[in-house]
Amino acid sequence: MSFPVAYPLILGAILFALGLYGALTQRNAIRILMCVELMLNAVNINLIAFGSTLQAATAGQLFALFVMTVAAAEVALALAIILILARREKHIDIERVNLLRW
Amino acid sequence: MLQAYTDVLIFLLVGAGFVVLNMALGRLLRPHNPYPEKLTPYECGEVPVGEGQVPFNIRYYIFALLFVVFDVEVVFLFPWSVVLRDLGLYAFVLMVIFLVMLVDGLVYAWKKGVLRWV
Amino acid sequence: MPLDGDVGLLLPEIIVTLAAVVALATGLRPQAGRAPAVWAFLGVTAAALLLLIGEGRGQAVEIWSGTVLVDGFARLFKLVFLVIAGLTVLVAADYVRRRGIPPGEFYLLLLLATVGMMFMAGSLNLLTIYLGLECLSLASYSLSGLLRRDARSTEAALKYILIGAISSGTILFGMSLVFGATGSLHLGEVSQAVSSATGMTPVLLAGMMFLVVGLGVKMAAVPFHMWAPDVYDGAPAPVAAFLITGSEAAAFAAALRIFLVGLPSLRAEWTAVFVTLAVITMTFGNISAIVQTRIRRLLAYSAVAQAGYVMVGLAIASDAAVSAMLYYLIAYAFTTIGAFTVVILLARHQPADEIQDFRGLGQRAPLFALALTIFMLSFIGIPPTAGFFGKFYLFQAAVGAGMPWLAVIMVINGIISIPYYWGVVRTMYLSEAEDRSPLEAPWGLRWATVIGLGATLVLGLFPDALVRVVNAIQVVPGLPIAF
Repeated sequence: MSFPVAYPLILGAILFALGLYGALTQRNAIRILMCVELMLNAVNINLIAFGSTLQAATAGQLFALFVMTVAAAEVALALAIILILARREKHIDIERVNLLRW
Repeated sequence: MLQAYTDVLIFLLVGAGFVVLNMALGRLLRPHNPYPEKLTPYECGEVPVGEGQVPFNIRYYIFALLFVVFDVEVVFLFPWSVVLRDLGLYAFVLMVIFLVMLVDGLVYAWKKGVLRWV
Repeated sequence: MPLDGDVGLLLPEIIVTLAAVVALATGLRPQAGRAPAVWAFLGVTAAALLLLIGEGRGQAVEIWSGTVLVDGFARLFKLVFLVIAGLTVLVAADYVRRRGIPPGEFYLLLLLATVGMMFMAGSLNLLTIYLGLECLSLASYSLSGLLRRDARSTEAALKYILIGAISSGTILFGMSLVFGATGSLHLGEVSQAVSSATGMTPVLLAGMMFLVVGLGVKMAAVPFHMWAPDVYDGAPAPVAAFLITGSEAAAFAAALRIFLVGLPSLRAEWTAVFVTLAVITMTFGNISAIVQTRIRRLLAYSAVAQAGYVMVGLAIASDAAVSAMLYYLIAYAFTTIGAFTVVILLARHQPADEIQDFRGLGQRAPLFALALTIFMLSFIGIPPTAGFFGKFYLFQAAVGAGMPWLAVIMVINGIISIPYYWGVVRTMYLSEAEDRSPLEAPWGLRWATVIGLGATLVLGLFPDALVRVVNAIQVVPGLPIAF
């Protein structure tokens, strides 16, 4: 059962573009995080798709595992920082977080 | 090449059909007799209290955060356990070091009183 | 993968990690005092000494199935990171205690960030570089937010982690494309595959661009610099100094490896991109710095501008340019940490956010004011300071590579930068302070200033010793690809 590697790559590219678009346009910090997750999962699709066609299948799958764990750590940390913000400011709208500018 | 997916499609159809068929059969065969006790949501046998959609206490998030990190790190244990027999003591020691580092962080959080429900 | 003698080559990293864990543990006691700082400093010093006198000098060895490489380039960068971390500990000891930052957490994160940087410089494997980068990034996000009661610190951390996460996603996407086009995560094999294969060029080009953008964010290259001024302004001051110097150097180290070792056949493409980025970055950084009234924002935009200069070296990427880049990064690290030390010293006694707060520093702390003056001269690039030779070697490299116009742009930028650096010096000496009480400095700050000043002057007066060292460094290790 084989299929052209282009299919999952197109899926990955679309997912990545969606995630990047969302991450750059959303105002809610949690939604930005969800979009970043989308980007990282696009990477995972790429890695595993490429890995399935190459000799280096393990390398791709291993990389995907690491990406998953690091992403979890990253999200946990981001949520913790957002929690500090939410406790103090009672909102998580990044456009209203603007003490620092220019 | 796409024919390979025919199997998947058939599985999907059969799976969905199975559910739909049984639900329909149940609806046709069972007696219809609703009364208030039956319509309330099931909360482990207790009488339900309050609304279903309440904001969660912010203190739950700390536990959720700690859980997520530890939960995902287990990913490394699966490939490790598969090849442990071949790699032997070396791999075992490495994984112990990894887990000790993780537990180290947990102990710190614990000692700092993060895990206490204040 | 049996246990072999390779662990010895990783001993510096292991020592720093252990020191981090010990610092965390000692920070738990309520009367922690200086213990975490002392442990962190000892760990960093021991690792640095080990790098200087340890085994395997002068050779390039690849260990652990090609995931870690120990060569001259890696050693030099690791040493630089350790020196930066050590100076940061000196600067931070007093700050951490005064601001009520949990000391265990601070030193743990600082040392783990250092370990991340060390792995970024010490590998040819994309996976290891990524993990090092994330180790550094995650620790720096937390470090920026450690002043939990300070809204600015939280804001800095939030902006940093959101933009940082997007940029690591971008880097990863680039890595996945490079991996797909070449079938390997090892940069040596990547470059071999690139030179032999032809069909995958579009994928490879796309991967290269994603890598440029992602690493550009980490280097604070304009137009991906938006996070930098906010983070450098809002984060705790010692953390800002650490990030400007260490994090940026690590990003450049990783970029040098990825582009020079992995993608030399796309050289024309990435040179064009980096030259453009470099020119925009230094010009934008310098012009933005002119209008700043807050001292740390001024230093932040100056950091953006300096990143532009360093990027010139990355763009030219000749041997001379790489040496100049290394020299510049080292000289700039000492100067920046020195300048931040004076800012932190003043902030002990009074608000020191605005440039105006530096009025009369020339009378209140003559030696520190003199030191800050010399650091500013070094930022501008006036002899006899380290900054002069940093810029001078970059000019030489630009001219040598047949791009004299690039050198001209750098000179123009140097002239643009004079007023804002000099403005700080003028405020210190020509304006009167309301509060004339002399400043007393804790010994950590004093030693950090002395080391920063000493290095800035020594590198400015006797550049030859360091030049010989950086000239001997090779980005592309001459080792056979063994697997």
